[in-house]
Amino acid sequence: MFKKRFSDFINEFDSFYLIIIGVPLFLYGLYIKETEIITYSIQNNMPLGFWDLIILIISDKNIISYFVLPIVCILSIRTINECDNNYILIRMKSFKEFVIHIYDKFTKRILSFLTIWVIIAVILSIDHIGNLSWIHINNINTEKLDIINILKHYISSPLISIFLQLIGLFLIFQTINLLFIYIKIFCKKNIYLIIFSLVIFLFNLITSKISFIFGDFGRIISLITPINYLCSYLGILLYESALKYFVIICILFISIRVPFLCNFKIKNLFNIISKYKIQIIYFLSLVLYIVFRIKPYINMDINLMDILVIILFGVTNANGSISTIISYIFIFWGLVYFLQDYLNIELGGLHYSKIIRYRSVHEWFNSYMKKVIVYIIKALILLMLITLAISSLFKFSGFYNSVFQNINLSVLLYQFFVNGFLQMLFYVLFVFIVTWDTQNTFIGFSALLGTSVFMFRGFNTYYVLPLALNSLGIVVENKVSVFYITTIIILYIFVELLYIRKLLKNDVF
Amino acid sequence: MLKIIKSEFNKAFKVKRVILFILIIFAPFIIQFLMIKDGYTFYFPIEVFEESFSGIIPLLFPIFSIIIYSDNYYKERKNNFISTVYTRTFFNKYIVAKGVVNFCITFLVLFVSIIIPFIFLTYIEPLLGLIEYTAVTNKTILPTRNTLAVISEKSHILYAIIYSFWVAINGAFYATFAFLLTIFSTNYFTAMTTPIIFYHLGNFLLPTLSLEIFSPLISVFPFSIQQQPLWILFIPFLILFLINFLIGIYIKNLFKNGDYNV
Repeated sequence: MFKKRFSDFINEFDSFYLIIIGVPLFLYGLYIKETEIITYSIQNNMPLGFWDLIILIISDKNIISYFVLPIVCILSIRTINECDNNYILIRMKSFKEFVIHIYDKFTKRILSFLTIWVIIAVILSIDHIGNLSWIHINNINTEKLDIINILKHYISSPLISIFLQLIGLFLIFQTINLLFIYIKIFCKKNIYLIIFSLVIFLFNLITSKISFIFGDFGRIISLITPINYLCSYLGILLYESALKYFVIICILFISIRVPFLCNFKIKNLFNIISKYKIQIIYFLSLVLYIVFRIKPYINMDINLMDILVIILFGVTNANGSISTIISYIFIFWGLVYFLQDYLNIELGGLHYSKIIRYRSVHEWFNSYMKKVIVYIIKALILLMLITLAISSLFKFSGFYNSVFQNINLSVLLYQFFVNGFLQMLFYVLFVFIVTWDTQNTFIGFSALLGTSVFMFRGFNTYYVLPLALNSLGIVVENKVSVFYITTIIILYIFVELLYIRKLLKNDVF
Repeated sequence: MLKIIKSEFNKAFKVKRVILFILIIFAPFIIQFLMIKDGYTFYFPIEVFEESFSGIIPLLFPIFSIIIYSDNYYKERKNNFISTVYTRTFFNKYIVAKGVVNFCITFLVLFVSIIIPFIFLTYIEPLLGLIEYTAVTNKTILPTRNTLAVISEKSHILYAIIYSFWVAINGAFYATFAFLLTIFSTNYFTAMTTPIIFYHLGNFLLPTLSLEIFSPLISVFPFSIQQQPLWILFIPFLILFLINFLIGIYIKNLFKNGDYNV
């Protein structure tokens, strides 16, 4: 299998590539190497690094816009036309398969093309292999070395910037190819493909030259210029961040690819939405809640850890009012709700016969608990990541010197993950006990909601009841230690497990 | 039709359910009353009444209204009782009768659960002297008026009746919401919890968007915010009513096509 793939890959390197593509790339690379840069570095006694030269060769603006882009357009049209005959079409079930076939073929070609280019770049810069770090340059004005200046400012390692450039090229070429395929499917004629490729080529040339004329409007034009995405240094300069550039090209690629992933039907998308509607509502409202909770603090001098505490403050004895309880219920018991929904399917209808297949109910319970544990861990990590991601979008950073006293990161993480995990496990087991006892999933969840009565101010003064003990507010309050809370919840979980053991020994259903 | 409704009423008042009704009427109020009995400053009995409806009861209000009788149709379907009904009566009428009975019972229980605390606090409690009222002097700053003060200043007993009616009708619509969902949804748990999600999603999201006055909780228990125009209370109620109305029409069309989904 591997051998066949490899030979396929080798077959793509026919004479067409080696002569038509390889020679101009090599000559232009030689030109770059021999002219400005080497002379500049020799004059100023600054040795040019191995990676520097490779980057200079593969992210040159002129060769990409005048040579590489037209070649890729031609390759794409050639691939589409090779596949567009009745012998191949007749074997495909649908247009989706047809698209995937062309897509795969083009992927091989574009990979071999990039490989040739990288090999040429390596051959040209092999004599500089002794120096593997960024060139040491300060305040240089040479236009060519601007590339390295920009990349050095945003990316720490030269290897990453090479990868970013190659991935950027690959994704944008694939995007262009997919656009060609869609045009072929909808318009059917080759003339449109040629017109489109000419439009891309000319549009790129014109907009890259004149975008600075328009002033403010030029920014919008530079956002839609292909060269700003093909050359990673221009993209990074445009978005002022390497990560942002990478995310945007990924989004661009995925958004072009999505239509044929979804089989060209909006109906399928609706099916997915209706299947996970409650999860989607939960996720969206959580994001909305976090965004609007953060907004008042934007201009204040607080760090990421404070924001984390503010959002996941939860319920303590001091602030047990109805609004905080509702927020806590929504964030944490919302997660329990999905598990209960799953248990509802497991216990009702045809799934009853599934439980019977296990050797004993205990074994079924164990398999259920395994799923629960994995789910809780995933959910907590996801909750943390969502919170961190949204808060870092508002440019909060740093985990030290919190506004709140008595807080350090390790205690906070312990409280959130360890106590949070145990607390969620307690809720799930509690709901399970009531559900199994009453054989009614709704009563099980209502009983959990009913326990929220004990979260009000004055009930849980010494934190003896295992309710809302995973709130980060308890760490801020510093009345009891986090290990005390762990002990309390573990005791309760132990009692619950004993009770479940007894419960499952009784008659089932 | 009346006959079916009568027999449905007979079905509803089983011993277990009556105990549940009594619990819903008394338990939350007693817990809340014991919580606020000491440590608060009160000038009038009506303040105690309003304070006792701003903790547990608002939080669990949709659960109370749904748990009363909304699962009646689901249980009959689960036990295959419904299939015996087809031959004996018109199915559409049977469903309507069930809906009406669910609405009425929820309404009655919630109405009683509001009016009994009021009678207790205004007529019985002063005789027992459980709460110490602070005397009103010229210097005392009275608490801010809430939205319902417009009615309570005119007549106390009228206020109690109107307010009980308001809470009861809201609860009845939440119960009907769940009942209607159980008719066509195959997932019992989702059907029963959707009204709760509707209620608490509003309470969770709208305050963060600083639209707290339109949240379902404030609509039913408008004691924790300052005085607003009276029509604001009707907006969440109107949305709830519209949802019920649309689901009702949807189910009517389903039955027209003969798709009973039982």
